[in-house]
Amino acid sequence: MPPWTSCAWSLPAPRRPRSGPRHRVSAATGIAPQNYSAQLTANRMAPEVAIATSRAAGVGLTGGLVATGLVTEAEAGWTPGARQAALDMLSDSDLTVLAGDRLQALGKTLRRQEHDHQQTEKIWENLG
Amino acid sequence: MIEILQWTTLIVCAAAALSRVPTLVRKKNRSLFYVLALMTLAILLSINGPYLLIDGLLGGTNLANLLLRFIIFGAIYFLGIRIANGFGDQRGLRLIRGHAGSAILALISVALLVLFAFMDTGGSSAGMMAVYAKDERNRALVEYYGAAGRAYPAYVCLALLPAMLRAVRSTLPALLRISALLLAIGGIAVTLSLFFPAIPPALGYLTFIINYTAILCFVFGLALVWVAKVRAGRKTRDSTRRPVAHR
Repeated sequence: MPPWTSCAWSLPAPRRPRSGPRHRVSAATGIAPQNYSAQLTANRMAPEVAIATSRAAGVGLTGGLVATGLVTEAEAGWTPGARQAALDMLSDSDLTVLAGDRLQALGKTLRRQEHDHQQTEKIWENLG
Repeated sequence: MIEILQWTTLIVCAAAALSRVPTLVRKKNRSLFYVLALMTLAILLSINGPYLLIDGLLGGTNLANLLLRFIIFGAIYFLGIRIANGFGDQRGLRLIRGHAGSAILALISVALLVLFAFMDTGGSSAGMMAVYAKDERNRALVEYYGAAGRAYPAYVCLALLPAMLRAVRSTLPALLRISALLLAIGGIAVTLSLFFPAIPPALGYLTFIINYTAILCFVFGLALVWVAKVRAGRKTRDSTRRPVAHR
C-alpha cells in the first residue's frame, strides 16, 4: 500500500499548533510528539496509537486500523471502494502536495540515516 | 576499599589493553593499545605498593611520580585525538593538536618540571604524600604540582565534552551513544579533578573515586565501541554469508 493512501483520514500534515490533534494523541498515549509524528508520517503505528489517532481526528475508531493495514476495509465494515472514493475526491494538487510532503520527510530520514552511518563508520575506523 | 577500586581498575584496564593485542598485530589503530598500556602503567604507578617498587628502582626520589604525570599526558593526548577524529569533532581536534593545545601542553610540562625541581623530592611515596607532609614550602609546591598535573587532562576532556554530549543526543546506534555518554562522564570526572584542592581532607577518598571513575568510564566507553563494531560486523557477515551453505 503506498503511504499516501492513508491520507483519506490522515491529519493535516506540517506545522500544526500545540493544541492540535497530534498533541492530543501524544498526550493521550504518552508518546513524545516527535515520535508520534514520525510514526504517523511513516504510517507505522501500534494499534492503540492508531485508534487514539482516529479518535482525535473524529473519524470512526476502525479508521486508523484500516489505514495502518491491520484490518481490511471490508473487515471494518466500510462500503466497498470507500477508500478509493475518498482518494478520488482529493484534487491532483492536494495529492501532489501530500506526496511531496512525504517524499521530503522520507528524504530527511534517509539523509539522517546516511549521516549516522558515515559517523558510525568513522568512529569504528578511529576507535575500533 | 580504595585498594579494591585501584586493583579492579588496574585489572580492567590491563584486560582492555590485552584485548587490543590482536588488533595491534593486525596493525589497526595501534595507538589505542598504547593508550591503554600507558593507562595501565599509570594506574600501577598510582598504587602504593607498585609505586614504591618502581620508584625504588628509579632512585627513590619520586621520579616515578613525574613519570606518571607524563604518562597520563601522553595517554590523554593520543586518546583525545582518536576520540575527536572518531566523533568528527574538528573543533576539539584543533584545541588538542593545534597551537593552543601544544602551547598549553608545553607550558604545563615546563611548570611540572620546574615545580618538581624546586621540591625536596626525597622520601618515596605514592601521591608524594611524604613530600607533602615535610613543611609548608614543599606542601605548597606539591599542591601546585598536582594542580598542573590535573590541568592538562582536564583541558583535553573539556575540549571533547561538547562533541560527546552532542553524540549522546544524536540518533547514532544505541551502543555508540552509551559509549559517548561514558566518555562524557569520564571527561566530567577528569574536569572535576581540578577542584580537588577544595575537597576537605576528611573526604579525601572522593579524589580516588573521581579518578578511578574517570578511568573506568573511558575504558568501558572504548570497549563498547568495539562491542558495537564486532556485533555489527557479525550481522553483516551473517547476512552476506547466509545464502552460502554453512558448515
